[in-house]
Amino acid sequence: MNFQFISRAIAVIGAGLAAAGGSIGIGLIGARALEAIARQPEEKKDIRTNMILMAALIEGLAFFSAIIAILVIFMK
Amino acid sequence: MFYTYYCQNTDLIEKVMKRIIQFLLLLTLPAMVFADSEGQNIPETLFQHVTDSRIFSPFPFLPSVVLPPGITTHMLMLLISIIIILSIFIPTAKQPSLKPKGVPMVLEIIILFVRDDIVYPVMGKRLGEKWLPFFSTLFIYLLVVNYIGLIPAFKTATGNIMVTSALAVMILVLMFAAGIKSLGLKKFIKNYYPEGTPKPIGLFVFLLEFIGTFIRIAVLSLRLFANMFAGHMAILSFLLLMFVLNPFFGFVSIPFSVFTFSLEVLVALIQALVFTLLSCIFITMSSRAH
Repeated sequence: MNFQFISRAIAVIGAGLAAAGGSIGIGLIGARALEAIARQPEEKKDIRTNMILMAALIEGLAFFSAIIAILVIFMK
Repeated sequence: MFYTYYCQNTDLIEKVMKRIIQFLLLLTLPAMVFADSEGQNIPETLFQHVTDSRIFSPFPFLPSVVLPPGITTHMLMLLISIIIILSIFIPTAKQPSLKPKGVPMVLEIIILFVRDDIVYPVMGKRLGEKWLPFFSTLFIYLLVVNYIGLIPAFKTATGNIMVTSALAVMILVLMFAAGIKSLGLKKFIKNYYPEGTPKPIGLFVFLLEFIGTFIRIAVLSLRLFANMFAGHMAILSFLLLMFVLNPFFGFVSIPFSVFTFSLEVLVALIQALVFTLLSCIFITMSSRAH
């Protein structure tokens, strides 16, 4: 039950929270994008491009916490 | 044009992908048989595969090469990617034709994609013509560097924070250079100042915008680094899971790592696209007065 164990455990929980937040964000984007495609099927290409762009931007933020968690686990 | 090519050759692409995934899943059987050659230290092995080092060991059974002082494996990967790009592009540029076939057609599809979906919608036609060679180079360079890392013997050079930071600093310098060249120094600095607000708030927003430029560049580099690093580490973690579990249950590591590998193929393309698109947006924002 030393300090390293506790810090690793909390880092893993933090990474899980980041994944949860990122998933909610990308899920919202996907839902609205599909709704927009259903409304106007001829704009499919533009909507798909923008959706992937937004998903990449949001996923970048979720990855920040993953990298911090990896740093906590693998550094002394 | 990209979509007509895609619609014609979808069957071939699907067949090839299916064969690749079947072959990778067939490796499940040897996975149950192979003993571990790495020993007991899993985290060190994992870390050693994703970080930079002086020693280049492509496969565990081949002898490792100690690189000359001053070169590391990631620099070697960047060199190899540049050699690949040059060897594909220089013969193509020597014989231009209006209806290319084969490899030049694929290159034309990529460059048309960069032109019609990234550069011209953001920059307009006049400025876009000047900047199109730079962004197509950046896009193809990032594509090749990201995809080379997926070949089992090579490493991902963009999985190094220094490489992506160098690219982002290059974009920063280009932002300032393009802004100062097209607007002049005074007007470029006045670009960050909001119009029509009282002086203290205006100065505060000016400072915020100025620092925001640097933060956006740092986030740009960190996004690319995090995606490539984490993806590679996920694949290797699932593969090394084979040595941690019982010899019989080690076969679950293969489907996981194949799935993560295929996800990584998609992520490499998307991250190259997002880096190019965002750098295009930053350079445009910095060379227009708003």
